[in-house]
Amino acid sequence: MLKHKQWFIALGILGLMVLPASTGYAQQSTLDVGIRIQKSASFYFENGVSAVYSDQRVLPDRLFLGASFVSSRFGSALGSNAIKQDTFLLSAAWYLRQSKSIRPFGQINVGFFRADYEEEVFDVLPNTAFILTPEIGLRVKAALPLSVAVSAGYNLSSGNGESGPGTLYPVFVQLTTSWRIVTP
Amino acid sequence: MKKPFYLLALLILLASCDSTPDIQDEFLDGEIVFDASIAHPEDYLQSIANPNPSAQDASKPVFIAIHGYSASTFEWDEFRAFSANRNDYYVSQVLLGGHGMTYDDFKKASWKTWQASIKEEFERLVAAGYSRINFVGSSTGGALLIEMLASGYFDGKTAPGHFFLVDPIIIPSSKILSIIPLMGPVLGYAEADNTTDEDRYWYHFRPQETLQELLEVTVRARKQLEDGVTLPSGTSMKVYKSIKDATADPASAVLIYKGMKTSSGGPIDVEMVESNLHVFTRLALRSGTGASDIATQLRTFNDIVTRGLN
Repeated sequence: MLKHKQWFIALGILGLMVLPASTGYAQQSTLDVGIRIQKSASFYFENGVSAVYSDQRVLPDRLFLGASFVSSRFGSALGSNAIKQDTFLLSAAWYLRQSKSIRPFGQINVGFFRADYEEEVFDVLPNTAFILTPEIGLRVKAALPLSVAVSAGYNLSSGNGESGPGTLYPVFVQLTTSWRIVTP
Repeated sequence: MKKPFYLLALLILLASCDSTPDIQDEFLDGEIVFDASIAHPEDYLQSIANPNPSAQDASKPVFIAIHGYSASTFEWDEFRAFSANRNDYYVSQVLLGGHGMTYDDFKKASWKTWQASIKEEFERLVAAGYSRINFVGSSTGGALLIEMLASGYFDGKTAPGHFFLVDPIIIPSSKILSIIPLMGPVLGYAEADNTTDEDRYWYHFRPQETLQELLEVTVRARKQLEDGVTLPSGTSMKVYKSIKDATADPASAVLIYKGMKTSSGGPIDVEMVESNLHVFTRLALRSGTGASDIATQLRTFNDIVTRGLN
């Protein structure tokens, strides 16, 4: 059974193995769907799915709009006593170096976080938050319609013991391995 | 041209990282003020005060009181004062290893050193014949006790009767601690927002090395709780947690509740306390506390003693 870190590394290596890139999508609408593996600094793995879309009519292959869902249910809370917590994100990303294999990007995420503290005695604690997260990273295109994006983000609304959910940590890194679907 | 620029930037960065704080004589960090238990252990440790108890004395409960990170035995002085007129139990205040001495002593100590003095007092008490031992841990004291339970320290030993954790820290409120492995070497140390009086009992400067140790032991305890921790047979645990706490995030109580079970698989007791103080049982030297804080402190002390005597 692979542990979380080993999955993280294995997916990264898979993406790098299929380099170099094919770069033939520049003026088409594209949709990338994939698996997002996210790790908060000194805290949980929260994994899930991600999709990003670029429209050929609006800054194609530069502006990407996306949605993600990550949860500790598919990470640290899988088969353990870790808290089950879910994050829903909508994102807008701007990609540099059009048509290149390795593309830096900046991204803003907005979304909603919810932790399940399960017992009534903990109802006095905040367990939800609207979140705003800047994120920067690199997307590496693969020879196959695969790409790997690695990035680091900072959650601006983490808990501080007096407000906000305590299990919402600020700094995270993520790795998304995506399959590109070219839309007509 | 770029290389000299980067070198200059690095030099400026290193120069800005002053790792030798300005320690004043009145600070616990200095070489004049020390924890009182160092000079007079017999006033703090039951195993030193009475190493050869009668059978009757040895059968009385002992509450081993453990303070938190960067604090001192002072954190449980009010519990000792509360217990002063009682002759049906003892209070033994442990000074965590590496604490209560100079900044450099503190800087050198690992969390295992902090924990060692808890084990030493427990083992001295057991060797002396004390048979009813309870633990009362605040803040990091709670994390250290959870680590002892999870790592099997009590296996084959006299099982403690009760564990009482007051504002235990598993999740820090300041999430900056989560990136201290990156930031710590740059910062060198952190400065606490103590009052002048508190500076005699809590370190004013917290070396980044000790913050890394704090992170390590809290992450370790969290992971142990995620895997599940079972109390020894006949042992109970109660967690008292302020609902607002700028040091130990209240969600710490959730993790302990989910991860810690009695020997029969039952839940532990948790009380979410209407307070915004970290270690709400320590009111001395605090400003702005009122009648409700005093009432909460006394109610908690009474609850601890009542449960601990059973």
